[in-house]
Amino acid sequence: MENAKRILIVEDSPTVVEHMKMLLKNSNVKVLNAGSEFGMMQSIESYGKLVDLILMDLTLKTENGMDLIRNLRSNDRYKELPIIIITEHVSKNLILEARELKVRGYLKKPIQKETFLDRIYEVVGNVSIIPRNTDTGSGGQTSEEKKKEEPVKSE
Amino acid sequence: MIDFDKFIVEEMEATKEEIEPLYLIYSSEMDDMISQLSEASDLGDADTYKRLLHNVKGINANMRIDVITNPVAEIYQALLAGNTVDLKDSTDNISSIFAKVKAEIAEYFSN
Repeated sequence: MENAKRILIVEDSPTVVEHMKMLLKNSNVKVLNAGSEFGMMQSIESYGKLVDLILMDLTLKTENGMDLIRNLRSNDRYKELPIIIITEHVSKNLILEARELKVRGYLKKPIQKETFLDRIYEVVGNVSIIPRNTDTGSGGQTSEEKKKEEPVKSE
Repeated sequence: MIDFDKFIVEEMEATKEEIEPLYLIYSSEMDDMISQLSEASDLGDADTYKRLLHNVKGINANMRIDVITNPVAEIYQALLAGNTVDLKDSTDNISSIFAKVKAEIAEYFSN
């Protein structure tokens, strides 16, 4: 795929990774996965600045996703790297912390296809191969659901 | 037990053939998770057990397998609230439900 965007999924459940890959199957993206065999941080750094976006699960089996983001942001190379967090619970404190770390948005688990793709396209541009229906722009969500999953503003 | 059509056709917009690898990965990961739950239960390690339950809940919620997500969420909440939970009974229960789910998946993809 020419000019494919590269998305790094930092998630240690093979099922969730495969699910996300399948959701992106009609998009011009190359999906990479950070494995935990040698530690997530090392795995993320091995991809360096080659990625256009990181999808970071906050509740990894052996590590804390927010600590990994903090670690990344402390390195000049990754200060501006777009990151979207994936979490089950969203709290005010989490949003404040995410803003401080310049996180570009969040996705609530369980993953919903339309919201998942919308969030990603907001960051890397619409890379859908198959034209998507943009009539509603909400993927059938109610305004309340949409509001709950608003991106973290980082002004 | 599992609404395959709703998840595969409506949500994933995939064919049966395209989605099969996802269910194979799911089944394999669940086998592994149940072994780990059993180990944590034998050791009486409630913290590890709770963390594993959280993962099991997440995986099954993503796959829309409510027959596992809901009871696991209940056990998880009970542990979070500090209630006494028989970890062995809990593991046996999850394992028994998963065995039925796995059989249903095998049957669905064999047709």
